[in-house]
Amino acid sequence: MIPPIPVSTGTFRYTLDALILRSSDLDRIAALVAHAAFALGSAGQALFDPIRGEIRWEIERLAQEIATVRADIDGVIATIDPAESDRASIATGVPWSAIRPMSQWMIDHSPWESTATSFVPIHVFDRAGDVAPPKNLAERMARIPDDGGDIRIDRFESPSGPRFEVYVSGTDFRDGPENPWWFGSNVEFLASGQSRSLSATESALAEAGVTGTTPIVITGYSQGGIIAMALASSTRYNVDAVFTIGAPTGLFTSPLTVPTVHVAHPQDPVPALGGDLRQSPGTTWIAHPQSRVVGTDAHLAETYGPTIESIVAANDPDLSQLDKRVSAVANGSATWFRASTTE
Amino acid sequence: MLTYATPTAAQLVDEAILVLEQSITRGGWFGPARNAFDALAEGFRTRLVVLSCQLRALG
Repeated sequence: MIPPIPVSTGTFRYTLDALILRSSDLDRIAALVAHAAFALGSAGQALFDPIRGEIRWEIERLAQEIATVRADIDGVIATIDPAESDRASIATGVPWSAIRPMSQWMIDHSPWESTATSFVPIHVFDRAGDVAPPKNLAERMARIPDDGGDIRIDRFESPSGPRFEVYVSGTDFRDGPENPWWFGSNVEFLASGQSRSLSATESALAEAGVTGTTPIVITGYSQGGIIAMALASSTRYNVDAVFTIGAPTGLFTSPLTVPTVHVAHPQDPVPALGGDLRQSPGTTWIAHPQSRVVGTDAHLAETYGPTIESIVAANDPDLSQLDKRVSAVANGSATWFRASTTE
Repeated sequence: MLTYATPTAAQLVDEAILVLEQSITRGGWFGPARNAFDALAEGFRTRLVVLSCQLRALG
């Protein structure tokens, strides 16, 4: 399995071309190695020569591993640009090429006019003091509330004033329209650029004391990632950085002046709904799940957890520098908000 | 490209090593993505070299 690969908007073509070449190379190498196993003799012959059999087994295993890495690279290629699927086998990147036409149709045919989204009240349901600032993406993701509809906001004091870390949860598939974080809010946002979940998050920000000038870092999973990008795009807030996990960030094509980091599994259908990642501002880390899962399992927060741990372990200089730049230094406090549901 | 009338297993593995080395040394990209690929490719190369030696020892 290949490690996480970061692809920034400015260099995706560069990376894509390089990956396509390597995919082609690995395809040829795997074929040569498989041919070598065949040339060494049949499995039956190997039974009478244990050394020859052992070598043949190692050759076959190596050919399989090379083919697996090639398939992983093809998944990354399809994730960066589904249109390149003809040039890759997309063994593990099927969602992107399969979902892309459907999502493009929805984007093209959705009424993008502004709609009035009603004010959504929120309430505080928990608080904690002496909270350490998050140091990296893994620690940020761990703070995203488990329940859809919940928002956590950490406040840290600094000599220049307070700064905030905001964590926005993903869609709550258990609930209906009474919960602003229900599935329909994704469609609402797609159709109008507004949603009740976005409105609720803005209510929480106001309640926490965030103004247009206080620096904030926003981390969002799934629908929370859409909200994070919408807040950063609005220019109504002083956003230092945005981190999204499993979010359809391709919906946002305008360049942002703030650093944005996205994490996507090639097998996850939700980021694929946003269209091309190449359209998305910022740097996208594409990584295969640690366990080989497909479909909605590839979207689960618990599936993304180990992936993000592997990205942090990669010690990418740009990501480490960003973490150091935006992280607070002193302990602060945490507040959990929940959007009020309607009956 | 190496060509043989009827390639042996060792010759096929040697050709695989050659293609892999070209893939590693090919320019045009840099950064973490390349580092990730190179680390894997170097691991494959080491194993292929060991296999090549073992195949030649077989005769």
